[in-house]
Amino acid sequence: MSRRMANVTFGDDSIRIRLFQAALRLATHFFEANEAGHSNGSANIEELNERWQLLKGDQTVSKYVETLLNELQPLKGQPLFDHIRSKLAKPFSFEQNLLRVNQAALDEVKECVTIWGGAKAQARVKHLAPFPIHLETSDHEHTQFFLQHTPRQIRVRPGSQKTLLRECLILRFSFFHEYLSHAFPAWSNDVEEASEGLLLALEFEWFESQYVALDNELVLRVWSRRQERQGRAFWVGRWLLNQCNSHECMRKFLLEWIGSWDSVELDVNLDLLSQLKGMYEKAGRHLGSNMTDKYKKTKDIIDSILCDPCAKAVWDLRKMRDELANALRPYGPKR
Amino acid sequence: MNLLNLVIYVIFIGEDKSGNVFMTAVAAPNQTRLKILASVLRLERFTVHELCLYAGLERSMVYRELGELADEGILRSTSTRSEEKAGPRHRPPSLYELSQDPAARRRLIEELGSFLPDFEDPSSNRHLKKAQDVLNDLVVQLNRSSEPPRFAELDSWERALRERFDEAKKELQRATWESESDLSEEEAANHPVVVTTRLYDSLEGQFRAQLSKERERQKSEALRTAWGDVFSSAVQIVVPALSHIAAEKLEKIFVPKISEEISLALKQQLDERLELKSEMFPFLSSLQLDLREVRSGPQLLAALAKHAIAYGSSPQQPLVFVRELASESKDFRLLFNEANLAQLAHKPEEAYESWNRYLSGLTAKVGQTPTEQTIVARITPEHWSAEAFHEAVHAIMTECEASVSALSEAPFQSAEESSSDLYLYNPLHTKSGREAAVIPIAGALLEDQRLYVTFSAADPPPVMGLPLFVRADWLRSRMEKRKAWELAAKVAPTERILKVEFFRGATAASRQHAEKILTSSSLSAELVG
Repeated sequence: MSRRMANVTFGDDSIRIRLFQAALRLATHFFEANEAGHSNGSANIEELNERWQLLKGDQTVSKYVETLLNELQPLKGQPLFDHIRSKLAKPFSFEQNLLRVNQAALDEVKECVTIWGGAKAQARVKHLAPFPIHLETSDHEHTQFFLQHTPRQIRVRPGSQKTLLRECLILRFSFFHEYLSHAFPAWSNDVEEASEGLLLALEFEWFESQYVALDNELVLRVWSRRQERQGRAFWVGRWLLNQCNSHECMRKFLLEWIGSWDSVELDVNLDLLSQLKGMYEKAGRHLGSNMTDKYKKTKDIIDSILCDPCAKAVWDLRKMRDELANALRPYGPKR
Repeated sequence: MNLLNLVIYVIFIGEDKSGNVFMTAVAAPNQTRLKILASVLRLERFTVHELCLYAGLERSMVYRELGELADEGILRSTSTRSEEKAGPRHRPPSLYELSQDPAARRRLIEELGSFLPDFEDPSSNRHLKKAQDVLNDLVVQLNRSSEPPRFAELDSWERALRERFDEAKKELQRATWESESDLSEEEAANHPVVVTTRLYDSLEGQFRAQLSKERERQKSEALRTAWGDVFSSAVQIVVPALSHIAAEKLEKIFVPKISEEISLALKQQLDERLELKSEMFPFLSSLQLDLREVRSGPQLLAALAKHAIAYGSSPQQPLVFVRELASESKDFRLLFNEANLAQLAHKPEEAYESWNRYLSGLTAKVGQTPTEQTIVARITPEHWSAEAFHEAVHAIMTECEASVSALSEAPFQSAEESSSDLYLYNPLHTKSGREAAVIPIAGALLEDQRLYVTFSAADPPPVMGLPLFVRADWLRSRMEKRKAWELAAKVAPTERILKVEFFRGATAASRQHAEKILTSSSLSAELVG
């Protein structure tokens, strides 16, 4: 089956879309300078962002780039900014670079699922192909991403100028999230608690395992607002991924489950989601809480339900749902 | 996200077809696509001109988006000019129509939703909210009517409600799992999840009780109908020429013989219905006891008439028996039975004649009842509301020295209403005096007629006969009986008829006040007579 090559389309030519092009270019050159060994960490990002904020008015992309060159002039002599300035003076293809980030994010999803996932997840991720990118305008403060299957595309709505450079610096994570949370799952309708909660937790864990703390701090800073959307499910995910003796176990479970979501009835999946949240409340230990006998018993049962299948890496979701229902029964209202 | 939430976010000012300016919610005044999507969802059918007017956009701004939506199958475009009519020389305007395909519509809503700020309910236990919504809906459904649907509709009613209960249960279970509290502890007794669980248990119990009561009722009705068939067949076998034999001519000597033969025929019939035989024994016993008491031809006919009314499968048979009895008896109540049975046999003129004769008999016996003070009023379904009715009843009771009754063939949706069996007078009177004064009319004869009656008095008199006769009886207190009969036949089953009966101390002012309460309230009652 032939697939259309990923491309970039524009819904309009608003200021935000032009600023996004300029921001992506600046972010690209920043990373190139990093590669060349010129980075000085977060201080450089802050300084670059200050210069970025100086862009004004309704300009063409070239004019924005020209303004940036001028605004970076006072930083002459600092290798990082000299490097960026030299790059800004050369031709640049926005589309190619955007597609490069898009492809890199997808490759990273494949790598993540190949390393952390089980057989089902690995089989599924192999078939993922890059999505075309469509840029359009909204007046939302923050950049928004929507992966849609019909027509196949990732819709990007750039946020305000204030947030845009940081968004472009973590664009790889944002695309990574779109692919893993919205293209990889084997469901026909998005389940936000899983995509924006549990899977987001796994995505953070992957990035934490792959990148330095500084990069992760930037991701966290930009994504903290989005985490709030399914905040509880996100923290449930963080807790879940740390259960069992080996952390690999729950990573594998999560990817196997979501990667074969439609292999069981939706109710089984939704029940499991609720039960995982319930387990977090009942078997997750809170600061200052007492280790009651009830807690210990529940923890033991839940450890066994979740972790025993790790050796074979096969989870019977229906059985698991029924066992978790029994484990959580003592916490229900007395009838 | 539902459309309701969506409309709250999407606000903009436009002008409708009549030129009235209106304001809808606006989240982002500069977003062309957002405005177009929201307008498409709101208008559903429109020309470009209408869309632009509604969304506040220029024509040039909408064509590309409309084209894309049409390509995606979300919009369908046709010419507004019909083929027959001669149109203007220029191109006729296109009429756009939102696709009826739910998937296309959903895509539109999803895309619109994606433009908007976070629309997902942020509350951590959305399952609880969903369960509460479903249960609220179930409260309404379970209390909508004082009784569940009948027969064929009962299964679908059960299925629909069971599905909703399952949904509530599922959501409540998830809410329980997700709860941050240990709901088993006593301190959690008033936790919203626990309270909702109690509501679920109670509603589900109510549903099961209602269902089982209705199933029992239906089973009993089916059994009565089956017995009616058995009874009718047996009587036909034994006394095929009964209708031609005057009751008085049935010699005393034949009565025990005929009774015996009927019993025998019934037993034979029951032997052919082994599956129901034991369940039909109570009916057989009842008839046997009555037959044991009969000592004369008229009593035999009366016993057969009684059982044919209470269990029969056709009005013809009891009508023959009752007519024969009435012709020979001085008991004018038999004429009331005859009138009702004639009506059930679709003989309205005969029904009226019998009713007329019954009223004459009644007047001769008890004299004219003082009804000039009574108010009778009609309320159309559009004006009916249980709340307004309650208010009016309360005001009349406390301010007008009167009592109020109301009847209808449609439920009142009030706690006090009662829908009971419809009754006729018991034609059988024996020396033992063990017979009830009234007997219910068999369901098979009634063809689903129902009567709902509500009274403000604590101990109301029994309501006798078919709805038509009850209505006619109420109306004749305000008009001549022929007119009352004709009006009673014309009244729609969904209309409510009210009767206000004044106490001894009531004055003309009381009556005027009651009339004012009924006519000037939202009930807009129409006074009769």
